[in-house]
Amino acid sequence: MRWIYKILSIVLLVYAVVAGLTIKIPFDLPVIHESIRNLFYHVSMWFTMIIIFLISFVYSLRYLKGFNLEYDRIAVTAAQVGLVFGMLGIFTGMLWANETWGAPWVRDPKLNGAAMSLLVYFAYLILRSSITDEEKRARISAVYNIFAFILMIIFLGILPRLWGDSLHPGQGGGPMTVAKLDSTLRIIFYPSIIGWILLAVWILELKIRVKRLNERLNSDEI
Amino acid sequence: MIDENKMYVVVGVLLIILLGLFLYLITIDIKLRKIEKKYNRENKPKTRSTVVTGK
Repeated sequence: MRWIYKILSIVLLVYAVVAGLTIKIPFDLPVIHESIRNLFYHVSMWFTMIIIFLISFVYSLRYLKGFNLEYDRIAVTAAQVGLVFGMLGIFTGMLWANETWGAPWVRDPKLNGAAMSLLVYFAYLILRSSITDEEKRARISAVYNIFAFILMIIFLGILPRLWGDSLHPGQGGGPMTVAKLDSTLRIIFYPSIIGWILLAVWILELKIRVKRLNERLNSDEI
Repeated sequence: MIDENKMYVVVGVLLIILLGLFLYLITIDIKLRKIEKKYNRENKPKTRSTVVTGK
């Protein structure tokens, strides 16, 4: 039963790579051309990061409801896994931006918003490491984590739209707004997102199980 | 596209990388499960909270 979502993840990702690289793109966008295929992989990283941070957020809320340290453990592990996907999103984006916009980092509200969001989550990990008392660390960081998620939504979802002028599609326009609506891209884009999210959940599950086991072994020694 | 410019080679390479990584994850998962089982065997759990489960 617990293998089902893992197998689904493998199937979806194999499909996303094979179909995503071999399908014929029915249009040719200026500047972007074949690199439109990055939509399946680069954008999936961000969707995955947001969902994993959402898991972290939910478990921080649950922790504050009953002060169960297991929930705190899940929240921090999710934040760590989410950061990995966020970094992958940044690096893949820099490569793509260099080809499309001429520089790895350009003046764009979405880029800076993404960088700010990652910094907010890195600060969460630093905050945790600065508190030695387990209960105190869990409570303070759970409250911080709730703010971190809200800040990420503001940085990635609200501010770039308010800015009005972004190189990213969906905000200020650009050639990719046409592509976004195309159904040939969607049938690969959506399965790809789900596949990457499931893979991230798989990694998250493994990390939590290692931590749980480690915790038990340490408490047995005392 | 797939025939004219040897795109299938890239697809093949990526598939090998991807499947290799999946295999690696599966191995870690199975190894972890063995350790969890061993832990549960050796530490006869008295309460439900002392059982280490893989989900």
